[in-house]
Amino acid sequence: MNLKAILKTATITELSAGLKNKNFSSVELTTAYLERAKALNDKTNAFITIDEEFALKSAEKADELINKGKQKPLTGIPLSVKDNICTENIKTTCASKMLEDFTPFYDATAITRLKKQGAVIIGKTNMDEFAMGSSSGTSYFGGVKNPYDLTRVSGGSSGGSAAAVSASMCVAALGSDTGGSVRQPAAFCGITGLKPTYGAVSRYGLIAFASSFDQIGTMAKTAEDCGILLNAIAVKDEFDATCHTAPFKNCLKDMEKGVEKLKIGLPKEFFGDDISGDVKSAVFNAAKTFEKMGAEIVEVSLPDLKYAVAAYYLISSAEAASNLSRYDGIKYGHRSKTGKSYEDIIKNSRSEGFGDEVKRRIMLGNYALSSGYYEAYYNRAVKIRQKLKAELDDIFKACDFILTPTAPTTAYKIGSFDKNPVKMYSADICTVTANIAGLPAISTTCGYDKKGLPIGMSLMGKAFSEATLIRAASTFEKVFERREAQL
Amino acid sequence: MKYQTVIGLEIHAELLTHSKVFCSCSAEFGGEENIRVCPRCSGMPGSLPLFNRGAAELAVKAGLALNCKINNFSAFDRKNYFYPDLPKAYQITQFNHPICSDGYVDIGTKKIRINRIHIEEDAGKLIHDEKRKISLADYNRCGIPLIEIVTEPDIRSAEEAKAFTAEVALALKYAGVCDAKMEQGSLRCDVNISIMPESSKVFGTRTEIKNLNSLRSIGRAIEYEFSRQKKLLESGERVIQQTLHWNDATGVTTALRSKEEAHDYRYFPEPDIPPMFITDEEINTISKAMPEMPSARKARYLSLGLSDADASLLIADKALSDFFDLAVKSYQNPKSVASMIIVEFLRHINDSGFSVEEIALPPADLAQLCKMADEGTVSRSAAKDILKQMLKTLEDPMEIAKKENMLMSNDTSAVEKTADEILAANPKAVEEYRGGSAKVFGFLMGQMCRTLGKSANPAIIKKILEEKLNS
Amino acid sequence: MFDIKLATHLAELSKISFTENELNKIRGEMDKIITLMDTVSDFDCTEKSSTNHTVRLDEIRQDIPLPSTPRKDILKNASEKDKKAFTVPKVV
Repeated sequence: MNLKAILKTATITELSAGLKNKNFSSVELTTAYLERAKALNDKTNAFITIDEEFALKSAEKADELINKGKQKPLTGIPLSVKDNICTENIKTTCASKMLEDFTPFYDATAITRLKKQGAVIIGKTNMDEFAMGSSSGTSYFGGVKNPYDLTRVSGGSSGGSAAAVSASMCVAALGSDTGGSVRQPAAFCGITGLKPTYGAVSRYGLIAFASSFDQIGTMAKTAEDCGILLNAIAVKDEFDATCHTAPFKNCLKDMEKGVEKLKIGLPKEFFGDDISGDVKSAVFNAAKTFEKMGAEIVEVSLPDLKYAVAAYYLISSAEAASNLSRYDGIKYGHRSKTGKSYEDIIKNSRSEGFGDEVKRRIMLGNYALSSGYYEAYYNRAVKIRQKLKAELDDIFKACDFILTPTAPTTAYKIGSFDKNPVKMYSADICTVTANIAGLPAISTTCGYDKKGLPIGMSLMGKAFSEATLIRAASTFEKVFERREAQL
Repeated sequence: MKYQTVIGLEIHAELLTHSKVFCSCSAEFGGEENIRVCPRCSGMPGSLPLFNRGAAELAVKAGLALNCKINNFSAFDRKNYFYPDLPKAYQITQFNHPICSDGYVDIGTKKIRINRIHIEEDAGKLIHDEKRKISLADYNRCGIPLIEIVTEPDIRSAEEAKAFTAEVALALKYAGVCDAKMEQGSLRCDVNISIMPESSKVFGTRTEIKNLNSLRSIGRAIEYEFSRQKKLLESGERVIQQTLHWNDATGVTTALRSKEEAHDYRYFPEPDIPPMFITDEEINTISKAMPEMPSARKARYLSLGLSDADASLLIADKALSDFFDLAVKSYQNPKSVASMIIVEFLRHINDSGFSVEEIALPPADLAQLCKMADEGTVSRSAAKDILKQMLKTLEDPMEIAKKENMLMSNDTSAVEKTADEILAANPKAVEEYRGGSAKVFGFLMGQMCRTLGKSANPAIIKKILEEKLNS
Repeated sequence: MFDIKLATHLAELSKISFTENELNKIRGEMDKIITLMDTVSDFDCTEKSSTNHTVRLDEIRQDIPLPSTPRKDILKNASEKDKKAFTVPKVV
């Protein structure tokens, strides 16, 4: 069996069948992925850490389980994990100098769930520092390159996970999504990315950026694979007070039902002048495809979308400023060699340990919360958040989900926003509402632009409607002609 | 000019939970550094707080004990500041939606209003090493649950402040919320104090004295700060709003933070903990399970026939009062038990320097001793000696009485024989008695007791003597 | 206007030190960021806000202590420590 050739298009379902039928072992499969990951990491910079020893040990254990007939959907499947999700005894850096040498002694709950199934974690993926960014260019370890065009960004912040899946360095990955960080890189790298409902997946062990937005998401080449991963990790967790019991036990139910009779909303505010023509027409075409498959398209409106980006940045930065205050160089993390007093040491450690974007967010967050500005910024943003939630509730009374672009453009050239980082913020317009309202959304590829770069569309639904979103995205994927990145 | 003091208190009380407030580490006190720490209370990346239901229930009890309104809706906020004893660099507290509000405490002379009670987490401890010029951070105390009780500025003197704090401490102890050991820091007090001319209605600029840990230092600090502020105003200077530290050894306050203006805590809702909704039913359930509070207990003591003074004295020390209740359970003579406890037991305790909690004597043993004295099994004076022995050896009172030959004899034949002898030897006295002089009875009793010794029962002696004289 | 004084104040709150050049640079960037954030200023805040998701008392963790983490793990990632504790320069 030529594993090398299989990897390029493989899905979890196919690999799991291969393992079951003993076409190959998990050790063989893991070795093949590790080889490919190592070979392509110089080009893509998708991984910060590749832990061969741990991966192979896990694969051996998985083979034992399979031999005993105890195979679960993820047993022996090589995955990668974003480097802001804590892994016991494997460095977890958040792509920051601050946590360059940080090795947790605990697993995130999501990792515990994966390990329970016997999944194989081959490494930790690159990202924007502390998940702040949408290019993966703010990583202390250098940016991630897009497998479709190595001169372009992977998107972010889960750019490493997206590039790793896109370049078939692993079959699927965990990312995290605070304002679009799973969906936007998935769109840029031509894969599928799912941000679950807030509270569906435990945040325990996910290094916090903005606690009321953060959610671990799944990334793979198909919506179905995203669902398989979600089924494994979406379990009520006593370790996270914001984690709920997901009403779906299985988000892959009734997959054969298709999209017939589903009502799909097209919110006009998501198709404004800031969205590129290629993107718009690809999403409209997808809408037509859905229609042909039996769905009904309705126009809907989210009038207060114009406030979404600012509200998102104000609240998320406020939470980030507080969440990142714990990095003082004392308990863990970078500790400055200079400075005599406690005050000097924490200031120097933070100044040396954090990159520019992280510093900007901390400054912004403290601005929004500080005395004299709180009412005008933080509090106002909270009210906008509540209003947007209410508007979305109304929309989902009229339709099953809304269909929007995932990003205004396709992947841009590395360094495009270096001189004006603020400009990048506005590009989050298509994704932040799902986080603001805590709703699930899935991005899948719906076309390619003239340069051959993938275009993503997003399906966003009401809380815990993951099953519908996955089913709809998957139905589309079956009729869509996917082009693999050529690496 | 005459000035009056305006005082508001913030009392921090450690809740008697088993585990910490936002993690499952044990909430015990003391021990080696950093042995009761986990990712949550040490602020490890990716860790999340998990609130403790027990802390909520105790806070509700505190609110009920202090006549507060219990809020159905309450929520946590983050108070952001950097200090090496605060690993997350924010304290989780309740800023906008405290669990209790609008209470009061009656200190006898007036009611002091309570603005609010909120739940928060304690910080860790820093141990300073002068030699190495370092501070060691110990997080065992991080996350110990506290309530903060905030008063209105209703207090006008050091005496009132002390009385209020003592009342609160007592109420919390009775409610089982806090052990209120000020010397161990389980109850500490911050004092906000300003002064204004007696005729004025406008409060002056206040200062805050942090972390006072005895009633005495609360009183002294207030008096010192009053005269310091008075001196400032009289010399035409201004009082600066600042945080002060009280030095008990030198008896002065000093500024704790120089850059007070830099403090901006940037409170905002804690996103990791969903707000809590306590139903009226749940509040009722907790209310029904409330232990007896001091005022109810006092009323009960009065109904048992105790004097107001004795009842007040007993309830002022919960351990003593509990001891009394247990003793009364095994010997239902409250007045007698109270008298033994207040007169004899308490004197020994005070002499020993121990507190009632530290005394291992079973209340039932004291009750038994009481009963023995009342029934004439031993004499009153023997009972005193027996109690002394019991406190030393924890022996059973009956055992002691037997061993020391203090049991009173009920053998009437010996008494009758002695009575015959004494009456025969004192014909003059007998005659006087029969002639109507009761005075000589005491003389004859004395003669009897001296001859018969400790083991004789005075009641029996009296009875037999009377019989013989009247026959 | 996001001036140097405000930048300095926020840097202090953030416990980040900047050189003069860095401070000038971030002041300019913050000025642009705040301009974007000012979008929120014309939002009509008068509407009554919805209520939050709450938890009931019986959904909250019970008061049962569990074993803590071994101290060596807690101290593992600290670059300066002694056997039992984290160390910092002496604070008053």
